[in-house]
Amino acid sequence: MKEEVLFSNRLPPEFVAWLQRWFNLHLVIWLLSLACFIAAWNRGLALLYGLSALALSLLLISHLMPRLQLRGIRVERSPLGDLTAGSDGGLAYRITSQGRRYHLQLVDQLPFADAQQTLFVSRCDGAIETHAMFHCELRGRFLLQQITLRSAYPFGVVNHSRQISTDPLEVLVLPQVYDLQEIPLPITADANSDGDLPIPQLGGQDQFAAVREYVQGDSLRYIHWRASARRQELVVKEYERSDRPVLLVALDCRALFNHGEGARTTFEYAISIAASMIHYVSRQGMQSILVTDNGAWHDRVIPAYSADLYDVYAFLATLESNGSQSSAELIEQAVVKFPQANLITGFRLKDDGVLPALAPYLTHVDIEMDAESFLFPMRSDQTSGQLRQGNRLIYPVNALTSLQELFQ
Amino acid sequence: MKLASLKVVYWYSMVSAVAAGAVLFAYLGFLGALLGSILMMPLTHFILVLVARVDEENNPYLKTSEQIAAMGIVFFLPMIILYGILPALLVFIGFAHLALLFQTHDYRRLYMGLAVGFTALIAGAVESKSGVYLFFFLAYAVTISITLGYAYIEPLSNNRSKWSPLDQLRAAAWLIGVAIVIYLIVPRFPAGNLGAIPGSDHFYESQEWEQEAKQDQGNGADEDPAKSLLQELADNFDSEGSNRTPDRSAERSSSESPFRYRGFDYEMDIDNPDRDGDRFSNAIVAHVRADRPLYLRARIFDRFDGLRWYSSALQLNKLKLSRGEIELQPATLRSAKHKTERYEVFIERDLGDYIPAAAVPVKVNFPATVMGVDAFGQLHSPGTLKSGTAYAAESLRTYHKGRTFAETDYVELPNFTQLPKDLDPRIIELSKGVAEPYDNQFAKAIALEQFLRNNYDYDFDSIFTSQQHTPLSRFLFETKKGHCEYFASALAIMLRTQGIPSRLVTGFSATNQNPLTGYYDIYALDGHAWVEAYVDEIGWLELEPTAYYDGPAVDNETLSADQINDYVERQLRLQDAMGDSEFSLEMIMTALWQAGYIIITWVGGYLKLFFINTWPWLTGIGAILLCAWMLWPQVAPRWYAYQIRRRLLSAKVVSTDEAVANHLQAIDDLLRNAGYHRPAGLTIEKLLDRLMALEIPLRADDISHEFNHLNYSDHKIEVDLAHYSQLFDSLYALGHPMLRQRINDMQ
Repeated sequence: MKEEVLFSNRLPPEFVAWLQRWFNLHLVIWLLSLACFIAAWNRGLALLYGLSALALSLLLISHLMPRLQLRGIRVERSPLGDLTAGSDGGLAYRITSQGRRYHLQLVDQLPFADAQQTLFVSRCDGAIETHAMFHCELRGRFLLQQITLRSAYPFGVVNHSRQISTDPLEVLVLPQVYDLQEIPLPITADANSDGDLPIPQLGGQDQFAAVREYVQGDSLRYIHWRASARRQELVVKEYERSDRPVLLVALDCRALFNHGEGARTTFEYAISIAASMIHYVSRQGMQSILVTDNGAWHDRVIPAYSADLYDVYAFLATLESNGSQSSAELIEQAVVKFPQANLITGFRLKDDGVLPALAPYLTHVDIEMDAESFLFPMRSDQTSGQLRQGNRLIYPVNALTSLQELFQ
Repeated sequence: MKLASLKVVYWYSMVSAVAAGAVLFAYLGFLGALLGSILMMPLTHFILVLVARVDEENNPYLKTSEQIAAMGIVFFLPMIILYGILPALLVFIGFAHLALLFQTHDYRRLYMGLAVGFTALIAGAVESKSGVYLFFFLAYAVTISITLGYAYIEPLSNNRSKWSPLDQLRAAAWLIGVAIVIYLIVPRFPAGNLGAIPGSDHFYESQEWEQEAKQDQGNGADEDPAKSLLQELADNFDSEGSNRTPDRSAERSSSESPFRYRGFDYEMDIDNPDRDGDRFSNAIVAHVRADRPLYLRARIFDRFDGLRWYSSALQLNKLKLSRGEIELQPATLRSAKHKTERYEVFIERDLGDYIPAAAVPVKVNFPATVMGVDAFGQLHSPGTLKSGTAYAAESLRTYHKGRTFAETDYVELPNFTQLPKDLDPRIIELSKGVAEPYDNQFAKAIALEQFLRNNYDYDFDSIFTSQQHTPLSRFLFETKKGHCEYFASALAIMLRTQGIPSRLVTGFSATNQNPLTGYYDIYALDGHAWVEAYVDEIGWLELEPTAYYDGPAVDNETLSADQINDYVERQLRLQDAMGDSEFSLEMIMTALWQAGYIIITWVGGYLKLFFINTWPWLTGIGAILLCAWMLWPQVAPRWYAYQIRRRLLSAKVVSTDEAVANHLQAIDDLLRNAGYHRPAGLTIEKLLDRLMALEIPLRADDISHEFNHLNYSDHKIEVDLAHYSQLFDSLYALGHPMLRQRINDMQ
């Protein structure tokens, strides 16, 4: 390969760097060719001229062939399923060429993946499909419209690369969603100690709300036999409890709230926490409400038992830190607009003392983020536990906090 | 990157085997090559597999590698003294390759090994004089193309690459095809001959000659040794031929090689049949490396009695060589009108005691302590030349009116104009008729030469069929066909009838250049006779009366295609001259070989025709393309920038949204053209923030505000297009180099 050096790397680094830059296989072949040509000229021998021609041919082909290989190639991408930050995902590539092509390298700079993706296609007879698997790092909406093609066909001596435009592909990487085991629930009026929180239950004396599919663990008491017989599958009765928690998440989209780099920022953590909480409460049959201000007020009500949260995740995926209202401001407006919400989740920085004014019957889950830890993660320790101040539950979060265990 | 691919190991072993086989073929022949390849292949494979199993940091074979390298150095020094630099270098390369194998953990060492193998192939090519070496080239081209290909793709595909044999051969075919085209069209320049002294297998010594040489030096003989002998000969000349001394050929007979050409006896019988009675065996007698075709003189004959030619120059002047080198005429005495040519001769079959050399030898590197020079300047060895003898010489050649001359000085010797007593008067009449229209000796000589070339045929069989009678009249007036001695004798005598001094020269025609090796192959049939005539006080004009031969050319063909063409023509002419031969495997091989040559020649010929007819155009187009290629990186971005601006200005827009989109697209294109590729998903705020670093006037807040409203809000606001056009104009006004510079600084 062109970058291969022909000297030991147990040499002074500067010298090695110089060698790596200038003394490669390509140069060695040039030097051999020149030496051979000089020897041929000096001795006037046809065999040496022949060897010199062979070396020159090697160089000529190494320079020309990769350029020819990269002509007339089209690449189309398509995602392999949903892409989620923090998870593995894949993209399918369809390569079409005018004629046969050999030894193609596709280098795709995916802004949301952990590293550039390099694919190798040994031979393409007009069209070929391949795929790349990678780890998604960043959520967001990304437009992919360029890709780098490389070829050093056939001898690997000269690597030629070319950036080509592809059909634009908008890739949506959903935010990372943690499989939370529990979340704080509204503090009951008669609760007299920290942690004395009501447990949501099926059934009870509440008003019948709907039926849903039976899941393992549901009591047989609540099976709706008639409906089950009608639908030919087990369904259970669901009841609307008057004190059933309604989660309200107020996401701070201000640039002021965004500290850190890449996927490890206060803003990204907040989005993941919000998505994870919504996922949890939805699974538990609770309603949730998301309010944000990313340039404009935005709210979204997610009904209980929503099986498809894609739209919410997609919305969260596209959020940018360009809002103007803090969580506290959002909460104050949201509780007016959504009086049923009783579990109010907000985010603030550790040094931000502004809190929303909430009625005492509302439970305030206050996610307190340590901005400095996002800037200097190595200086932080993992946080754990919660603090309770009246109806306010404070959950400190820093860059090393395990979000999956945030509420445990 | 760690070398862990068995495919690469296998093909690298093949390359090593081919390189080893090629080198051994050059020195030891086919059997050596076969054995070497068979041994090298598994040895390389075994060592590489062994090394692949161990960790580089704890390589137990490192010491073995160092010991092998040390052995190479130990062998190198005595090899230089015993066999010369090239064999010593090859042995060293062999050891170095073996030592390197024990350290070949990764691809860079593999590439280094390939480079070492290529160097060995170069060294073998220097030694080899056989076209068969070309097969090793082909094998090497195939194996190295596959090895390099696998070395490229195996790491990319985690050593699970799929490369079909047909595709492998396709790559190899490209390599070979392009190499052939380059080989055909690359011009051949005259050889530099820097430090080129061939190594000889034999060394010649004679105590007696050395004693004589000391005596000559003691007598103060510092003038031209040949000239003094010739002067002595002229002074003692007896016009009746009484100074003729007995034939010394019998007493100094060389070996009875079947390739020994009888014409090189001291007395040459022009109608000498094949005394052994065998069919003529046209084997290679010697190779010559030279820049142009040469006629190598062995003997010069001055007297003709109607049947035989005799040489008066029997006495030798003995000369001592200094470290195998002798200068027969100091460079300071050479005339500016002369041209010096250096060449090397490699003897392949035992010859006589003459040293074939082109006229006029002035410096010789010969493996002997002493050598002899006769009155006509011809060189003699202390013993008969053995196969494997190699020597180099420099000769002076004079050019005049497109013809070559030998010596330019003249010592008048009556024998140069002597005629047989019973010369057929028709010969005098014929010569007169041909030469009379011309008024100078040069023109007369050329006319007589051309007369013979154009009116008489070459007859190969005449070498064997002529009997012990003078065939001159029969040749000129009856059969009108014969071999070179007939032609040469006829011309020499015809010249003398016109008063032009002449002499008959025998030697070798080194005009048959093997296009594969570059050497001039001298076959037995290239033993030849020609004529030198002293004309117009210019010098001894070389004349070639036999149409079958081309004569010593002034220049050689510079293109390989031409050389191949000439070679094929000569081969076909030889086939034609030798007539039908028996059906044999050799004949089939020769026919296939020639068919291949003809195909290459055909392709080469058309390529040459194309280049000859179009070279001014091709040169012009090439120069333009070269300039364009060099200037393109400078010009292209400016051109693209201009196009972006032109496109923007000429775009027909119907709405503000569209105009803003066009401007943003143009800004994006301009930035990309200058090397800034906007990351996908970058917000307008961040983009503008980065553009601030370019130090251009920019209303970032307004632009981002308007952009966000346009794209993300239903609430329409009034957009000022001037913000965008100002941004574009600012970027464009910077100019491409400045913009690129600032973007580089920004990144």
